[in-house]
Amino acid sequence: MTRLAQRNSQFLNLQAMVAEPQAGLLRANSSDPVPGELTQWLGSLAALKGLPFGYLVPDEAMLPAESIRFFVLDPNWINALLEGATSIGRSCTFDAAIDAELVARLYAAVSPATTVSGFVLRSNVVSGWPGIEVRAYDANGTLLDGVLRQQVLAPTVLLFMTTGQISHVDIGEPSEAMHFGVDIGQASKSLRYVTVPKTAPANTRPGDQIDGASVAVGYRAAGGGKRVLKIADLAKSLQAQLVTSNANLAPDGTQRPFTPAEFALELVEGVQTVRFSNQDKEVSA
Amino acid sequence: MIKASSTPLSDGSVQFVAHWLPPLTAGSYSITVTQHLQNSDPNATADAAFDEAFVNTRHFAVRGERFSLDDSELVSRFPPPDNQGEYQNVLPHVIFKRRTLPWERSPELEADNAAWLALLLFELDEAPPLQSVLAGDLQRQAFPHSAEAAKAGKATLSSLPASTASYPDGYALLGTAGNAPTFTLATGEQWYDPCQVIDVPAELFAAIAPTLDELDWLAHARSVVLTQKQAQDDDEQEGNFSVVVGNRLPAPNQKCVVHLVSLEGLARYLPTGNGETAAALTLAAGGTADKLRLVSLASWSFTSLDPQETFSGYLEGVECAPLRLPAPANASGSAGQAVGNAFAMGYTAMNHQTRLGDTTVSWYRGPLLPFSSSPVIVPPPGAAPLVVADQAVRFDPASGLMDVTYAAAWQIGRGLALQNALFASTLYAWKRNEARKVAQNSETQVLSLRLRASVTPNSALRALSAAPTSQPGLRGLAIGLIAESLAAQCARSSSSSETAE
Repeated sequence: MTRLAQRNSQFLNLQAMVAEPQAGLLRANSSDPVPGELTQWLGSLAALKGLPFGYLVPDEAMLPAESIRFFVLDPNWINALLEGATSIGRSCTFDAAIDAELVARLYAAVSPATTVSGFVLRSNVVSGWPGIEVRAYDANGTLLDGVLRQQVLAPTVLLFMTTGQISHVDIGEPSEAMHFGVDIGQASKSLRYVTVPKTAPANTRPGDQIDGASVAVGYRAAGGGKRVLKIADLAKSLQAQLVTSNANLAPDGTQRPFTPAEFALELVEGVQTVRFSNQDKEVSA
Repeated sequence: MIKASSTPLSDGSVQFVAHWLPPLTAGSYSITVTQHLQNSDPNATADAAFDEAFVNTRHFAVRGERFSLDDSELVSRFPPPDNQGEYQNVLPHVIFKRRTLPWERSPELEADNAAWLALLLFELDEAPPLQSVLAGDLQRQAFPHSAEAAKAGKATLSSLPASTASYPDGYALLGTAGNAPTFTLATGEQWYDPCQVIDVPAELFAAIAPTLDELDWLAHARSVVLTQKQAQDDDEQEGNFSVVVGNRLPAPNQKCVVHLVSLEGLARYLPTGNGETAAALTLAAGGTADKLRLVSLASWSFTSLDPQETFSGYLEGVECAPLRLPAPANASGSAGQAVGNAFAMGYTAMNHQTRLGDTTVSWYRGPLLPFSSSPVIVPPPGAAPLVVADQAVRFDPASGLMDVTYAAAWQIGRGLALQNALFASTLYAWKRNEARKVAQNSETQVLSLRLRASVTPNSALRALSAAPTSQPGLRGLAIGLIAESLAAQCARSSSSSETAE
């Protein structure tokens, strides 16, 4: 009987070893770094990278053509997702206690952001204007710059996710895809400030339009109405008008040279930006 | 390099640059180094005096796009290809990834600010057909049409018609009289390289081609801050691009074709006098050509049409709402209301095959919620480990429906982890390694407990403590003895306990 008691105590020791001391021993080891591959991949998984689209938007009716849908990321979903991903290699109860401790350590090392919001945009704009620029703002109008995802998932579907709570977003044409053109109705071209003279209205920035300054646009006569612009003439008149408007001055007040760079700036038609807030939108050019 | 503004780039801004001239234009170069060694001592003996020059010449070539352009060099084209939109007041343009591309060759002999690339816009009915030919079809001599033919020395006639001018004819007009340069291949180029060409009628070319002066205005470069851009651009803070702009506005309600053409060496064929005076397409062999063959490095078409199909036009038509299913049309009664509520919360009804094989309908909701706050339902990983996905299924007793949301999340998480072999094996190895460490630590702990409790009086331990540390062999023996006695003790205790039971 004493031997039985002895064995029982031994067994209890074993049980205690499984339940208690391990955790203690693990904690003693917890300063060991977690392998970077693990945290990196789990971090990207927490940003839903690699997740089949059907899991994000299970029904097409949620995202009809030409629509934008705002969302907030469900932290419970991310927890379940990461819990599933870290469940590999968990088999017996002996493992479970260690496993829980390890997974908790892994999660602490990943620590995905808790407040994440974003939108899914399905529109021909996504395919037609590659490199769309998105700026998201919170209710205080602060730019949310912790962008987690901005990815084209399908030719016409864009996913955008950022930390923080989005109140409104500005979606703009890609800034290098600004286009060049003239005001066709008046066959004229309005001018922009290359540099801002002191006489300009307050808060004018280089690139803003100059009020009331424009030049006529002439077509080539040869060939008969083929709408070919007289580029060299246009450059000359733009330069002259810039001199008149004092809109291309060096800091010391002398005229700056007029080069293809200034010409390109003058030819730019504005980048369009559209603002979406929860239920509303407004357009600005 | 002249910059249009000297202020540093701020977020999302664009800086215009007049030219980004390449340090070396495409072509063959040779570099000669001469080292002159001389004994500077005037009184040196005849033996010691020497005066010698060491000359070393090396040849190298700068290659550049000439007969074709890889699509990856094009960042974007505007108006977008195959797009319809209100483009009648817009000049087409193309953006290149390489900031020096438009100035790497020249329409004249010496590279200067004039770009060798131009965008020619054709209305559909006047657009010359795009022909796939070989680089040799730009000149008149017979040439081998494939690598095998070149090896066998077999030349086949060029397809260039006698009355069509092309680059060699243009080249012949450059330079001084009697000293005309020839159009030759550069290192790495072959006459059998594929290229695409268009044969433009002389009058049409004269009407729409830019003048030599205009080529200078129609190309510029840009620096753009890329921080707002998509993930693949992450490494680059700032992007440098070059841009070529067309000189012709698309006619309203017209389908238009834009060709990016090479004007290398064609300066004398370009119209003059502000574009009003056509230049004759003089052939090298004499006479005047009625067509000009140009290499088309890229081409696309678009339609200038509906005012709605602009960027803001599209976005104005975009409907804005939270991500959820629209409310059911005929939601009546409590069931309809329940469905409406679930839809409002972002749920979707999905067919569900249960573990037992029967089919039912269950609620599923993706990770993207249509509203902001939500209570903690699933704790962070580690707090409550799951063994199977079904543990995360939630049941609504009121409707008798299950919510498989988090079970699905768990399952896809596990599936994705297993799919990534590197992650799965690293995670498993790490876990096993840590578990082994724990087991080892525990073993040591238990052993030391047992040793202290029961083995201390044992003679073996006495032997261990008696063994001098300088004799590891003896200590090893003592440890072996301890292990043996422990094993014996365990065996004894287990057999006795079995009899006791």
